[in-house]
Amino acid sequence: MTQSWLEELSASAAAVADRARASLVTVVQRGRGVGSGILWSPGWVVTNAHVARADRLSLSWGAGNAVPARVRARDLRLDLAILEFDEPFGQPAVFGDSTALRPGEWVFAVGNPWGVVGGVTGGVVIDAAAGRDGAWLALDLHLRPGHSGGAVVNVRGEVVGVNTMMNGPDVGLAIGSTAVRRFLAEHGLAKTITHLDQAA
Amino acid sequence: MNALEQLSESTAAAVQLAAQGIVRVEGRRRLPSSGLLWSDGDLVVTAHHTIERRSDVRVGLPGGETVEAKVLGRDPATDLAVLRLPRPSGKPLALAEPTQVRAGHLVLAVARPGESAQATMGIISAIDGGWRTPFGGHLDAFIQSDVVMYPGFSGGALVDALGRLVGMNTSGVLRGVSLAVPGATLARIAKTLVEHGRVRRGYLGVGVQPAKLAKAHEPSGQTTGLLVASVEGGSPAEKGGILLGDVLLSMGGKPLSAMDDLLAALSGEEVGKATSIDLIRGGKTTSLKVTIGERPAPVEEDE
Repeated sequence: MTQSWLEELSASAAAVADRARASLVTVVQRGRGVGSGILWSPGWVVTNAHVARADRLSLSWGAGNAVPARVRARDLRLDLAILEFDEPFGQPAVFGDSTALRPGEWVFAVGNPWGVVGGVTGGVVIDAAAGRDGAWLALDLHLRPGHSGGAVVNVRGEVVGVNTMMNGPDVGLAIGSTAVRRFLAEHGLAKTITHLDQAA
Repeated sequence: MNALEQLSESTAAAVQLAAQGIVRVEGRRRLPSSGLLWSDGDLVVTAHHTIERRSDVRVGLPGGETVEAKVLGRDPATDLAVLRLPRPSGKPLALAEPTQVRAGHLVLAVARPGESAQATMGIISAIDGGWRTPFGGHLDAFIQSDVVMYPGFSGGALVDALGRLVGMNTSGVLRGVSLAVPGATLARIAKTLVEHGRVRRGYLGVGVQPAKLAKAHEPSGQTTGLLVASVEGGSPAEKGGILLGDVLLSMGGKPLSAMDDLLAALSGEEVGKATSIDLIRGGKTTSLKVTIGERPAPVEEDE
């Protein structure tokens, strides 16, 4: 009985990881290594500004697919960027509400840690209102270089944050989805956000 | 809900419940630490090493209010301090049944260094019987977990899956180890600190190291004693006639084969009592009467 519950738990976690990976893209800046991005709408990717420093980038996904991408918006202070590309692919992410997160709740982060495509790490929310403005998430999981720009998802697979930096080896910091939505809205992408709200 | 949603809901609920009994403690210049509401909710148990001043200690309550707290007492040996609040300010956490906590159990560290509660998760790595800290205090159990001690987590709670208190987390006892001071020790030391403001510990004034005996000592059969490597000037040991090079065998009839035996023999109740110490000097067994002193309090600095 106990064993079957644990197996079910493991299967649920794997399903959430699969869903998060379906919306993961690899952001390649020539000569600067790889980061991660979240496909949030056909033709649009959200990522960290520090992952999209070059104006011309390429996005890859799945087994060897790649497309060129342009930077639509970039805010170094918020560390967020929006990329656009012409060949829609993949499964757009569903955005969740980071302000509804509670400490102790489970989350998973996906990305390309050390270049390992689709690497997953999981743990609990330490602080759902971290940082001076409360817009950050402190997470009890293991982000590594290459995770940046990837998604933090809750147990329902909704994107609640963008992996942004490590705070030591054992704590990850992410920008909460509320700040990400605001950023998207400020760049004229509110209509799509409304659509995603409905999807969520 | 699937199993993952159930797990997540359960851990978040455990944190939410525990958070009701956890406060913010502002007793040092840097980041605040955490504390546990205790007794009738008018006391706070926290980590001694996070209280750097005697006055102007403030406590942030679960409801958001900040109140002045008085430092009632502290025990560096177990890294505990007790504060008094102006009035009962919430309900202390329920205790987990100590005999039911096992290695591998899921636990959460819950703390409040800021306005709201924060949490990390892990498992019990090791749980064992009584253990003496490097500072000579006795913990009723050694509880190590692999929870991340995020800044300000010292003084917070280690709770089980139902949000019940296993112990108080501290990173001030063992460096790099997430250690929890067990609930039984919190109760015992807090009671003493409320009554006396400090925990009395016996003091002899010797530095010792274990030494193998030439032959087993009778009648105890012990094969090691404690070689006296230093004697402090003016200490009870010096006054009682203990000399450098003596090998201590027993105190009050209890064998001294390891360092811990001596620390255990120097409990607070022994202070002021004349005790006989058996020892080997120049190859012969002899006995001395020594009056146990009280270990001096560490020097505290006021800001």
